[in-house]
Amino acid sequence: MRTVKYTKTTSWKQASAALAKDPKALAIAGGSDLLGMIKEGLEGKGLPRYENLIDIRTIAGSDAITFKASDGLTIGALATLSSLENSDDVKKNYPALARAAGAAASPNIRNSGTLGGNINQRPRCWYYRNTEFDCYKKGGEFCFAVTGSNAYHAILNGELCYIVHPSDTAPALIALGASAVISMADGGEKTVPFDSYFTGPRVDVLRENILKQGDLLKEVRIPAPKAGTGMSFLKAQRRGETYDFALANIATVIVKKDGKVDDSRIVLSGVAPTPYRATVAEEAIKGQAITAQVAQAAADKALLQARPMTDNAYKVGLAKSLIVRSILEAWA
Amino acid sequence: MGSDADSGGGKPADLSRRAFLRGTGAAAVGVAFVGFGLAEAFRGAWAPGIAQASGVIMPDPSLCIGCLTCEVECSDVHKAVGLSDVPRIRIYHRDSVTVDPEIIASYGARGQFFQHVCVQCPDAPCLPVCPVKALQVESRTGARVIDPETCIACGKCEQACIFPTPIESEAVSTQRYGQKSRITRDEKLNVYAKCDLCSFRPKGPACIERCPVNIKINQGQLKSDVLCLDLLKPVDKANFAKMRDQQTAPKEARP
Repeated sequence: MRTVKYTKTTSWKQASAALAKDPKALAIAGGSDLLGMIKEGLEGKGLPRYENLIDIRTIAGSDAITFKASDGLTIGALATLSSLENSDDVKKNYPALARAAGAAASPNIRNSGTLGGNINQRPRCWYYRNTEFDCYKKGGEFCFAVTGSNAYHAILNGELCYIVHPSDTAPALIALGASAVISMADGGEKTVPFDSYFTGPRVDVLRENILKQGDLLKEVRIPAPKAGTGMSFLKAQRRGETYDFALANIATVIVKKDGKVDDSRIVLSGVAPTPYRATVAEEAIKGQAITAQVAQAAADKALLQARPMTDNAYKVGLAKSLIVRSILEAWA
Repeated sequence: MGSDADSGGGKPADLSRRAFLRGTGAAAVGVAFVGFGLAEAFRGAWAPGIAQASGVIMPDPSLCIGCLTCEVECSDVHKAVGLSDVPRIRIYHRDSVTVDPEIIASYGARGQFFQHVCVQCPDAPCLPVCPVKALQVESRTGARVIDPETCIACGKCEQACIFPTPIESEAVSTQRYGQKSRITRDEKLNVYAKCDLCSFRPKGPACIERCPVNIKINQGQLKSDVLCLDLLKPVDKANFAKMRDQQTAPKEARP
């Protein structure tokens, strides 16, 4: 058993400052991803062995969920997935988010796992999660998935590293047009739309988002849904009856006007290194009345860009059928 | 069983892999250069006074799996030493590329890509047009390099380059750089950037070192008599013939 230093914090500023000055410090919330990583001893040139845990659950009010019809929903990053799943405000106004939160992991993990942790969790690539493979994500010099077993890897936008984004809530938040409030290392704060929150391997292969050491996701803000909004969340997993990470999941939000699609957002996880916005499908359904044919045409078009590897071509068909089903569901 | 015709994926045993591909009309396909360009450049008209590059990065499209490791590594190693992070090598998709049978066996449908990188032309038409002498021949590698401190981003070298790139929508990556030739403008730093054979790197070009297909070939896991990305010595006439074959697309495959 390895020992780690553990500090409780009472404010975001204090937590950001403590993290910024120690590269081996990491914020702990639910800990379901982090403790596993520490116990497995994952480390490399680009991944320190975290020895200093800064607890942010102890910050007062950091798990609040508040809804106002005028401003929309504000969720503290420390809100647990089960509190989101069971919140009446969320279920009523953002059913796709409630379903996404409820689709993650098992009830036990959802009781301790937080929204912030679900958004910022590290990838599940089996090479990354194995200490024997010094891959790009750990600061190494090779992607083992490209030449190895890649059944659960990216079919879209892979470059250098072929992880898929594992989060269930991230596609729902992007589809809902949410923004992240970030507590920064220098004590400041900034708001970034989730559209530009996640970054691919080309920007920095060691990270999956814009957060730098000392930055913390503090709050998630979702605008109030427009009149005529329909939404859907679907998750495909290998073991349907129990809990698992998604092979692919999808969140779709459609705004209807005069019997046609006025605006839409279709976002998939599990297919690309970041949550993947299927803008091609969004454009294909714009101004249309949705039928099964329209949805199928949009899905086929969206996956034209897919470049599967040896073992993951099944994800192309899977993603297509998820797009079709979720467009039809959000439209209904 | 065990006859020559049965071994090696059905290809006659007395033909080398390269000759086999050429026989199927595939060896040169997929590199979307204007064919005459390189042929002219290599016709032996060495420009007097310009030192030759010690090596040229020579891609083989039939082996490329489009993983983009070379593109991203190129950006990363240049960024790490304070240079522009525009990738000097880019990967495009093209249906007319014939994929090596070994790649099909190992990677399934993942093929039909080709790579574009500066070929360090012997007569370097980009060199004399630079009004501020930012383009120089690097002494160790002989690479034609652009000094970002001196470059005034006039774009003359980009125009002088005789190798146009395909339209960017054919690029495998979704990143767009507005490339017209093998010399690319970096919008952020307002300088031009081109392949410098990683002359600052003792180990040589990062793209060649990190290419997963190269690694597999070097480890003997993939059989091939050429690498996906290789550093060829231009002084060797046989290499030039090889380069001409690879980089000059047959007429019907030209865009």
